[in-house]
Amino acid sequence: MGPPGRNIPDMAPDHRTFSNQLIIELPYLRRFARSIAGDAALADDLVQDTLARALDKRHLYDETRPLRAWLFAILRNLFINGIRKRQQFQVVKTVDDLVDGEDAIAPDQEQGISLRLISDALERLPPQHREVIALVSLEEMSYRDVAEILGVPMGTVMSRLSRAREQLRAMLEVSGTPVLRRVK
Amino acid sequence: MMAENDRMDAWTLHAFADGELEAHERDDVERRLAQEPDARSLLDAVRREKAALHAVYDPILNEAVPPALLAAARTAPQARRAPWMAIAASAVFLTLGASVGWMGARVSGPDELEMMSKRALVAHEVYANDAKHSVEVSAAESDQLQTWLTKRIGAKVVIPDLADRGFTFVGGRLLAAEERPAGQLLFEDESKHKVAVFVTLNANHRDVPMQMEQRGNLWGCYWLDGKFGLAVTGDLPKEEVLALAQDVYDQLEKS
Repeated sequence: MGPPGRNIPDMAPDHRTFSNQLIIELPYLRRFARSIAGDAALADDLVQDTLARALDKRHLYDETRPLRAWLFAILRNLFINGIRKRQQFQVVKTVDDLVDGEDAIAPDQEQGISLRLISDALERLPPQHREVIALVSLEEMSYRDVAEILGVPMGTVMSRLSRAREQLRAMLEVSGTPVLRRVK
Repeated sequence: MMAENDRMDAWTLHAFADGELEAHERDDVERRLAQEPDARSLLDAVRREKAALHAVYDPILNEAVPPALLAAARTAPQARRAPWMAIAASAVFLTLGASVGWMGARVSGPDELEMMSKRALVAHEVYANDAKHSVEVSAAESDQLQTWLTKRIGAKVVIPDLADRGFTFVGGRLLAAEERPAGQLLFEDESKHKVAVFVTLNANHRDVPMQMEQRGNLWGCYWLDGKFGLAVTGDLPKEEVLALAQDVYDQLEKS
């Protein structure tokens, strides 16, 4: 049969193309992962698991649909399943926590702190609100793609988005974030 | 609580901010904005929210991607799978012949893959248990069978050795698969259990990991590698059909 591995194709051209497409999506996967998972190491772990899953389940990818949306769906499901497994977000902080003064930071801080407040506020949203904000406002996915990624009707996407934005705005107004206060 | 009308308005404004509206709807919103300060305020808040999120998270787009992630994206599926899954992507016991023209039929999608599995299971049912004519060419003429199938399928077919599992080669036949020729190689053990290897060309070089399907008393595992679509079927427990696949995989690893 010849030397070991002689018959294993090194990397079929088709596989190389798919790998290259994944590599193009990596920055966006990392951004999305960071915005929903918060922690940078956890986010990159999610991206790594997403790549493994995508390569395994590649035959399930509908090539008429955007690759990024398919990858986001995988990543998002891994994240949600991870939450369920670890139950690490048992207590979801709400806007009331901020009103009570927990972690309150005085307004008029430098921009760095303002930015941190935004990511903190995003993390305080329940996961199903956080992900819809991340997908629409940050990743700029269409409502249709978001509905597919989350596996819910478009109307649900819109009502979640509306509520999520209300919550986010309320939190940031309470904490006096200059970035969100500034008009224009 | 907002009134239903207000909620609809808020949805429209969100859709406007997110670029989801048609041109005429956008015009309508823009007209209304002039008279509705609350709507302007909500729209401003959404726009600031977007700008803020981009300010926080966009720098990630410019970060160097960790090498581990690049490596993961480049990893062929078989390298990460459990050993018995690795069989799916390797050429195992069938090796490509010298550039025989393998144009023509393709295995190009999950549906075709499922059809291949079904064909393999049905072919097993139809032929393997036929008392007199289970094979077209018997094991005694293995060389001729191998040459014939190689020529018709378009890539070099090598008959696997499953003797370690107690299966001896009975013979094989050419099948008319849906779009192209296929071969069936039949094996039998002492208690008359049958194992069939169904082989077709995978002209698209798609790699699809091994999957299992049951039909009646048969289990089949099927997959695509760079050159071949393959299915192993047997009137055996699922685990034994898998074990046969693993056995073949191990043979390759040690060769």
